[in-house]
Formats: sequence, structure tokens, C-alpha cells
Amino acid sequence: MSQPPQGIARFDSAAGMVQALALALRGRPYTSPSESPLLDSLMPAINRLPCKLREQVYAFGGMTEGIGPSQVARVDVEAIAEWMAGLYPQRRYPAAFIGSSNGALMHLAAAMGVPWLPQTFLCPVRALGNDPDDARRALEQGLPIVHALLGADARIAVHHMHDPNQDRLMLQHMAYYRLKYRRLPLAYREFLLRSLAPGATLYVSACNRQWPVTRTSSRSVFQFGATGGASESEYFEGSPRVRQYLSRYGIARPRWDPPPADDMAPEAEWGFDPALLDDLQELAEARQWRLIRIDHAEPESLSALTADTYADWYAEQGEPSRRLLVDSFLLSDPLTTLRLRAIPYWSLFGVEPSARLLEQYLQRHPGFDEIDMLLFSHGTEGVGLAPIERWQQLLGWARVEGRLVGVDPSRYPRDFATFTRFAEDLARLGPRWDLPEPMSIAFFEEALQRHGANAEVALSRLQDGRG
Amino acid sequence: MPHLPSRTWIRALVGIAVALGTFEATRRYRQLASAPALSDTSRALGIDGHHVQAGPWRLFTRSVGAADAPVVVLVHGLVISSRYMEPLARALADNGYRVLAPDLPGYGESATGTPRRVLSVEQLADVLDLWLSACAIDKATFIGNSYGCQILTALAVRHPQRVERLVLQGPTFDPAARSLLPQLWRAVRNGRRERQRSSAAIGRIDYAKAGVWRVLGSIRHLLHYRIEDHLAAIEAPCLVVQGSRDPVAPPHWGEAVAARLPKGRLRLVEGATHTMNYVHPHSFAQLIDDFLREGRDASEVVR
Repeated sequence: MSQPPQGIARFDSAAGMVQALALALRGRPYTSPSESPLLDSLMPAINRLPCKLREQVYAFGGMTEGIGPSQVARVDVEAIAEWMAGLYPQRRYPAAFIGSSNGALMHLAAAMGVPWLPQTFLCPVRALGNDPDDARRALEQGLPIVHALLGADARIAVHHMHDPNQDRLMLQHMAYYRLKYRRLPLAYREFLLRSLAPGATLYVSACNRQWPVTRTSSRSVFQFGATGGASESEYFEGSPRVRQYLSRYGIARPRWDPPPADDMAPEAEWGFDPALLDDLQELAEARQWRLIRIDHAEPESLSALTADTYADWYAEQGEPSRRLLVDSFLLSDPLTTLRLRAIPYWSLFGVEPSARLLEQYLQRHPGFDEIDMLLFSHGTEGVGLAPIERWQQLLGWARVEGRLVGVDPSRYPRDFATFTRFAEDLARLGPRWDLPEPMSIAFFEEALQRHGANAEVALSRLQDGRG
Repeated sequence: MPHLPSRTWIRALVGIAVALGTFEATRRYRQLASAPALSDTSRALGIDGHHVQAGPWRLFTRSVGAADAPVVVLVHGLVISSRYMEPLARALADNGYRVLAPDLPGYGESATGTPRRVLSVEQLADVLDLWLSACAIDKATFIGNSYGCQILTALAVRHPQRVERLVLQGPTFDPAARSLLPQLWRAVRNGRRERQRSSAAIGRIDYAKAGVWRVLGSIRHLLHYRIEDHLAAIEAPCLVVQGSRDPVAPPHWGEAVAARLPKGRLRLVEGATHTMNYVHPHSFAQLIDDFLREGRDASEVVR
């Protein structure tokens, strides 16, 4: 994979997923979120450091992905779009996805052999000496950066995201700005024009998750907290769990005191900004593409649905699968999943709500012989994080064997070597199969109709294609 | 082994390094200069190539698209040849056009007879006129990039009967940077912005084929021809396509060009750079198609 331009973090959902899918379409496994052989080679040594030191190394390592405040005005969102679109092999595709990031959707796209273009990406900016728990100061200090980003390109919205529950380590040295394309970047337009024939289908992945925000301009908001282990009210009003969490980290405050929210906005990382639809509709009409919107209420609404669709697809080919492979955040490998003939189940994070959803899925589908599970470590024992024992308990649903893949349970959630070890351990799994024939568009849409109603997922046709 | 002073050794090593460097540069230069007219990529795109005898000039011409489709002619930029027009030619052919793209004398596969002869902007426009006659084309739609816009301006002024419609993308040159160094610096900045889909490899072939003398002579002609003095005389409808990220022909200059054209219109393309025909050919082809369809629809109404 080529080096990304400045202004996009590779170690994030959008960049990780787009790379994993692009590699799958190239017939290669996703082995390194960092794409840095040097960093990967250091990971085992870093993992052996004492707990506090390991956290600091992780935080400083993450900081290297950020840009300096003086570089913000020069962030080239067009070059970033070009980098993401350019990861895919150049060929004609029967369909493409665009919009919200979603790990489950990556498996559907990989099964169909088609690309996905992210609407949102993370632009981290260095902010040394940050206080992760002072949200009001974060908003104020971030305003000049937000305005510089808005000035860098009029086609983006800026979501300044501040989550001391899940991003505590990184927020010590960085601020998170998620940029959303409200207009179709030229690089995406060009990619779609050269890749889709008339009559092809463009699917819009539209996650409708909203979050209370403080609006800072017509194109920018400040989002305190994020989808994960804690609820919105816990971020804004506190709770016994928040009090315990802050006390555990030695923070002398019983709850956070964020700026009051005055609006609702698409969730910074996963939510879909519908402003992009105008360009998509115009382009689909001009090129006679079918334009189909896939609404889903929550990021994980697609997880069980994707697993069910895969189960149907394998069964239709006469190869029913009794193997489940559980992803975690950006730890996922669509190609290996296919080669193992495993059913993919994507978990958002290692948090209790995600564990509960997986449990519900396993209660409905108790017949897996093997369950393999990846587990992302983000270094913080935040509110709502499910302990390792909870995940091990879920592996107990396997009738023959349940395994953590690439995880050192004694170091979780500070098991940073998992970012390389997951791929090494996945590579040892077998047996391997040849890649199946791509899932057809008709099969995909019928499966979504069949399983979508239960999962708050709905298909709507925005534009008919040719014929 | 004889004992030599250390300075002598250093001189000998520097001499060997210079000789090896020169040998390698020459080898590479010759390799580039002898690159075939059509590559495997060209053939995969369905591009054909043939020579057209236009008066004294034998012009290599790329072509693609159905023979009975409406003709559009692509005119290349400075020193480069129609080789870098191939992606746009293919995209236009997919939109239902017959695309012809000549290498003008001295560039690409079209020799001038003498390596030192460099034609001016007006002379190149006159060659285009001869080439049209040789192709049995009375009137056509022309699309130019960069220096090609200067040549097309001269064609539209000197041979107005030849021009149906014009599309000028990234017209050179902005009077705010009227000398060589600022122009070079702008080209470098553009190269950085286009590095992910760069036409630099093609450019190296065409620069090697043209040779150093012609490169210098062409730059001199580029800086000499002031497009702003001629735009008001263009009668044909003209679309100026302006990239928002084009440092060579920046947006304010594109606006000025469109404003001076009697039938000019500006289309700002967000995110586009200078070499749109190579970097964003499908998006470019789509808006060319919109512009040309509009012309066809208008003529149908008149009838």
C-alpha cells in the first residue's frame, strides 16, 4: 500500500477498513494497520514494557500520525480521497459502496468483489499537554484548527470529537477531527466514472446514528463522547460508573463538564452526512446507475445481518459453515475470512454493548463448532469496556473450540502487539479454501431485504439504472 | 602499485563517477527517445496511430472511437505530445465521439526535419489548419490543455471557419507569472499535487524525443504569445475549464480568460489540477460532453 498524504490517520476505522478491503480485492490479507515494518517489529518489545510506560509509548506512537497545527490549513482532502480510491485495483466493478464506515459492510463488499469509498476520515492534530477531561478547553483550543480545516476545503464538514472515555491515551497529545465529505471529491467521482459501467449499482452506506453536539459553524460541530461503552447521558450528566472511572485514573472530578449540546449531528466516526447525496444523485442520473441507500440505525445493525447473509451464501454454494470469525473495530481480514469459509461477525469495540449484541447473535445461532475472535486494544479501561473474561465467556458458545486470535489476555486492553499478532495467528488457521465466486448483486439485495427488517436496516432506491 | 597523491585519487574517482553518470544518463535518454509511439496501455485502450501528410508536415495522429461519430480534436501542451491525451481520448470515445489527437511538428512522433527548428504558436496553428484539410475535416470541436490552449486561440483567430466549439482547460499563461522561474515553480507545485496519478513518466519520453533545444525554444514561444490579447477575437462558443487546485493556470486567471471571450463560459472544477486530461479524464469528458450536447441541441432548435 502506498504512503497516505498528510492529514489522514492510518490507524483508524476508515483508513483501516479501506486498506483491508482494497487488499482483499487484490487477493492479499490485511496484516498491518500501521503499514510500518519498523513499528510492527517493535511491537513485541513495546508489549513487554510496564503498564504505564506501555501506555505512554502507545500515546506517543499515535502522535506520529498527527499533523502539526501549522500544517492544518494545507490539508489536501482531494489528495486524501485520491489515496483512498487509488488503493483499489483498477478495473470495472458491477457495483460500489460509498458512505459510512462499517466493518460488517467490508465483508459484504469483499464477498461481492467491489470497492467502498469512505465519507469520513480522521485527521489528528498534535496538541501537546492536552487535558483529556477538560472538554470546554478542548473546544476552545480546537476552534482555530476547526476554522483552518474549514478554510482548507469548502466541501467538508469538521466534527471535532473529544472522547476521554475511549481515547484517553491519544487525547493527551492529540485532538481528533473527523472530516466528512459533503460533496463528492473529484478523485471519487473519477474513480466511480472509470470503474462503474452504465447500469451498475452505487450503494450508499448511511448510518443514522446521531450524537448531541455543540455547533461551532454551519459546517462544524464539537462532539463530546462517542458511540461505545458509555451512554450519551453518562458523558453529559455523569454516573456512578463515570465517577469510578475518573477516580481510577486519579482525576479529581466526579463527572465531566462538557459544553452544552445545542444540536444533533451525524455521529462523528460512523454517522452519514446526507449532504453528499445531492452529488451522488446527479452523478447516478447522468451515468444511468442504480443508486440504492442502505439505512442502518447503528453501526452494528449490519453485523448480524452480514453474518446471516454469509451463512445463506455459503449454504447456497453447498458449503455451509460452522465457523465464526469475530472482528473487533479495525482488526479484520476479509480475505482470510473468505478463505477460511468463516462467517464474519463485526464488533464495534471491546465494549459491553458489543459483547451483548454478539451474545444475542450466538443465542440465535448456537451451532458454531469453532469461534475465533480478534480483540482490539485501545489502552484504556474506560466506562463500559467488557473485561477479557466476558469475551472468553462468549467463546464458550463454540461446540468444539473457541479461541482468541492474536490476543494476550494478561495484557488486554493494553495488548498493543495484537495489531501485528492478529495477522500472524490468523495466518496459522486452516483449512483454507479457494475464493468463492463473487456474491451477486441480486443475492446481496435479497438477503438484505430478508434479514434487514429485524436489524433496523432498510434499502431504498434513489435512482433507477439503465433498463 | 604506484603511489599517487590523494588529490589525484579524488580527481580520478570524480572523473569516473561523472563518466559513469553521463553514460547512464545518455543510455536512459536514448531509451526514452526511442520509446514506441503506442504502448501496450495505448493498445489496451483501443488507441490507433497513423501518420497524416499535412503540407510539408508528417504528423503522427492518435485516433479512437467510431468512424461515424462526431469528431473532436485534442491539442497537447508544451513539449509533451498527444501521448498524455490517451486517457481523455478513451473517455470521450466512450461518450460517443471520434477522437483525433495529432502530435504537432517537433513533438512526440512528428519530426520537423531539423532538430533546431521550433515552430511558433501561430505556425503551429497554421499546421493544424493544414492537418484538418489533410484529414478532410472542414470544421471541428477542439479541446486544448495548457499550451494547447494558446495554439487553439491562434487557430480560432487565424482560421475561424475551422472552429465549431472550443474547450480550453488550464490555459497558459497567467500574466501574473510572466517569466520562466515562476512558471517552473508553479509546474513543480502542480507535479506534487498530481503525484498519485502523475503523467511525469510520459512527459519524460516526450521531452527526450523533443530534445533540449526544442524544450527551450518552446518555452520561449509560450512566454511570447499573450493569449489575453487575442481572446476577444474568438467567435466560437468556448468553455474554459478551470481546476480549483491548478497552480499553473490559477482560478483567477481562468475567470479572466472566460470574461474576455465573447462567447466564453467558465466551469470551475473543484479539486482539479492542471493536467485534467490525464489525471481526471472521465470527469473532464463528462463536462465536455455536456458542453457539446448543448451545442447540438441548440443547432437542432435552430433548424
